Amino acid sequence: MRCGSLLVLVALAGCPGGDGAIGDHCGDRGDCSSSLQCVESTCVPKCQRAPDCGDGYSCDKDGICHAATGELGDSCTSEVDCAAGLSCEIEGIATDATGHLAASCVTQNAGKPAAAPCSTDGECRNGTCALGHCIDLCSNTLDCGAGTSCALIPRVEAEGSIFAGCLQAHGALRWNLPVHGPSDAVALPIPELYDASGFMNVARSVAVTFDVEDVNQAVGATRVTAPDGTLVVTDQSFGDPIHYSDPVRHQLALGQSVLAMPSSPDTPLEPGVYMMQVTSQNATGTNTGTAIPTATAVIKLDSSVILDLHFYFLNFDEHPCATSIGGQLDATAASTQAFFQHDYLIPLRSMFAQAGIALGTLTYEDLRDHPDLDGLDVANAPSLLALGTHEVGINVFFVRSLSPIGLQAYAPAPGPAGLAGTRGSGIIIGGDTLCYRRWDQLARTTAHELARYMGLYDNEDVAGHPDPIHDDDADASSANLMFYSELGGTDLSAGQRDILSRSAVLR
Amino acid sequence: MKRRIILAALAGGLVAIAAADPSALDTQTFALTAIDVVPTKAELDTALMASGSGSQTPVQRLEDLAANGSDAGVRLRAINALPQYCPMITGCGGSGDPIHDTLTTLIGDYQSQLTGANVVVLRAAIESLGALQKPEDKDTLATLLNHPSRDIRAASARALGELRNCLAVTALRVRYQNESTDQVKLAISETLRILSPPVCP
Repeated sequence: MRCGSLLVLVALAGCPGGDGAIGDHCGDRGDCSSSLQCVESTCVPKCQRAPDCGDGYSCDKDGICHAATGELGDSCTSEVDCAAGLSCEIEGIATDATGHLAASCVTQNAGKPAAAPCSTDGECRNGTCALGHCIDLCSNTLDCGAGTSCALIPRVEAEGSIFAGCLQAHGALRWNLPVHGPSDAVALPIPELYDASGFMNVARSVAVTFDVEDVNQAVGATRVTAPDGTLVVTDQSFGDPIHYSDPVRHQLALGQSVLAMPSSPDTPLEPGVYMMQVTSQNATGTNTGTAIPTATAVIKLDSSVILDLHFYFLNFDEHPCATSIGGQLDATAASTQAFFQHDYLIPLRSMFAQAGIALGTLTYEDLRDHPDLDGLDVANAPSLLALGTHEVGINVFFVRSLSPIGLQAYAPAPGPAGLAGTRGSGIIIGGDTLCYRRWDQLARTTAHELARYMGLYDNEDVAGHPDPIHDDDADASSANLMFYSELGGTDLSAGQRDILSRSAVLR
Repeated sequence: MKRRIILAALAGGLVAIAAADPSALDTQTFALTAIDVVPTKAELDTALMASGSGSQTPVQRLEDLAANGSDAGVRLRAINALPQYCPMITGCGGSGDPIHDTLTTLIGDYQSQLTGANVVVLRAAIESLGALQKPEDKDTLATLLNHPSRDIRAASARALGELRNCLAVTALRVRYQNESTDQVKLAISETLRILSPPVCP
């Protein structure tokens, strides 16, 4: 049962076409103007979603509220099937004729409302916790509150059987996956949602960030199985070379690693439950570690393509290349001066525009009280990236110099989408590159690193290995944005554009 | 071997390489302009040999690029790569060793530089000289603790830590007393921590 903001009782009869205004007395709908309905003898606005009607009512496509008839113990498919005071709750693992998990009307719990974060069913008023949130069952999106839509959700507790539930319709959904012990089989449910055109689509992408507090231990998924049983990440240990033939690229790493799917349009994300063997390992990769990993999933639900960038500037005082930089580099200068706004950001925008991605909110912040990080040894990159405070978009840190010298930038690949304050929450750009390169060239370097954070790999790395995307137009091409050299081009293949546009860092 | 290195006219070479059509560049140039990785010796060998360096061995080619490369980006990576070519067991030698001499000559020629890419070249040579871990380079690096550039002073302090030469402690302490930049003071502190017992009684 849903407790909406507007609690109404509905009387339905007659034909529309009266002249009753909001608040006027009515005997049936025919007494109210065509944009209204008659509820408890009063003309009120038509509903857009069931919660507009209040507890125990549905809203039809004509905007009319209907009282639910489901009584205690009756089978149901949606929260709106059950009368006031009841909720539609999944019964177990049995499925109904449609193949969805069977549900029935039960007395509602005194728990959290729909959409509230949860970890167990018992925490939720409606008795269903999935994807880390309390979920109302639904038959269609009209049953769901504003900003949510009816989605098909695989239920981990029922071996992946499907139920239809109201799920956040836009943006990214984040939740913690339970991990019990240093090595554990962890289920990752991937839902399907209706898009704006009414078509059912699988979630755009998922990024799972694995962390351990002991940074001397490695962490990650040693194997991942897709819902159809395909191994997408084969047996991994820390220190293994990249498994280039795996459909999904993933490597264990010290302290933190990220599993981002899909890695290629050739192996799209599947609806259903992925099974991951999540493990901490000692630094040699030979034994299971002692640390219990945490796992945070972020699913991109919609096709939004806005990339927010949050620029941070370490201390650039007395930089030897202030002249070629264009002057003092700090937050104020970057937000106002042509060298940054024009010479750097315009080409950066252009490179992402070819993937249909628009730069959105840009923020600028000085970090002048971290002298230990001004001239950064890349080994200390996690200390700097942990200062990234923005969850949405990507944090971009400008340091005055980067060592070992010659390194121009650093990015976790892929990065922990949707997470701030972690050892991988951003990318780093070395300011000393501007001693011998122009701002537009640094823009290409930045775009390369941002794209790595978002899930692309070098189309060819320095050892000649390819990325996971099979695209003849990009493979090994030095004209590609993902070519490992700073002197590469800015092209993106169709497959690369697809993966970029799916990144969970986009809003 | 002591070679006199002529300060490169960076601008001309830089524009030439940076504006070039990527397809016209060779694997050597690409390997020495990697954005976010330091190529391994094996990867460099492959790239350098694929590009053809005449009669030069890969290390000779890198020494040449480090000393005379026209593009600062390529040059920095060549300087950075040199310590990888020291023998595994014995390391590079001191004076007279080609790699060592390339680096010390660079430092000598560029230590008066105060701005621009040449300062970064100097810093690269300092980092690589530190990576050779030759205690006898203490004086070369200690002198640079007083360089006008804070980045050079900090790099020198860190490189001194790699030498494990306890005689550097005095110079580091003196510089610390006179240093006003936190970035440099922190680098000196870290090196003094390294050069404390048991490394330096």
